Amino acid sequence: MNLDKVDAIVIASAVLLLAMLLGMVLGIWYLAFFAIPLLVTVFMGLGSLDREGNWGPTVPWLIGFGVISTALFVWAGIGMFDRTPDFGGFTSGMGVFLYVIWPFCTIASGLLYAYVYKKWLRSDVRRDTN
Amino acid sequence: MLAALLFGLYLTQIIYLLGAFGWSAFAAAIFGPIAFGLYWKRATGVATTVTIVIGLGFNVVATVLVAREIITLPDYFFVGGVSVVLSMLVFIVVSYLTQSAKDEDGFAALYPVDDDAVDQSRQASLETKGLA
Repeated sequence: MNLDKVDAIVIASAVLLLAMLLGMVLGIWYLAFFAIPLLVTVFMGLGSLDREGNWGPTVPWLIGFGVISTALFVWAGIGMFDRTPDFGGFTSGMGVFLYVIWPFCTIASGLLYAYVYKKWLRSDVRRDTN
Repeated sequence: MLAALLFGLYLTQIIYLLGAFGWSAFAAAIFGPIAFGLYWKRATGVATTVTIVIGLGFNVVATVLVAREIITLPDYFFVGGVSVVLSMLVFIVVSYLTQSAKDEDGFAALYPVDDDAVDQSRQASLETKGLA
């Protein structure tokens, strides 16, 4: 069986989903927690493939988004059990989530989508409309 | 009105439960088939049907069992999340087990590839952006 990029992404997704499932059922919080940014990055990679299965110039931006979001989750995870409300009135884990991860993901993911579409995926749409 | 009054008096969490249950059932049933089905040539119609049935069924059964404390989930985890993740795994596994040439042909027909048209369109796009 020949595996292409989409197959590899689906397998990676299955591994991450399995880790999340085990984490949620067995109460291993970090398995579920740290799989989130990785799964998001994998899905963004899936959505950025063009019809021929290429990423083109979008790869550095996708990797950058994945690295930053994973680093932010690690930051939040480190402060997860610190109960001191010293991050804008919240515990550091919640504070990082509310003040950093939420705005970053909301803004950066939208901009990244626009960039990927404009630079790479639009040619697929043009081809369909021609 | 009587039902609304009874809900308001005795079922204080009904809106929360309906919302949470409804969204998790919705996500469990369709997220995997749509997210993977759009891009993955091995995705099959059988896997979609099985995933919808299991996603909805598991969500109902697990919600009732957790509500009656027959089973428990660890703290901070919600049965809807388990349903969504489980249904996506089911979709992947069943797709691998039931993959067929017919489904792959159907997928290929959805996204025909014309290399010349692709090259011309991409080249024009890159030139427009000054990347060529």
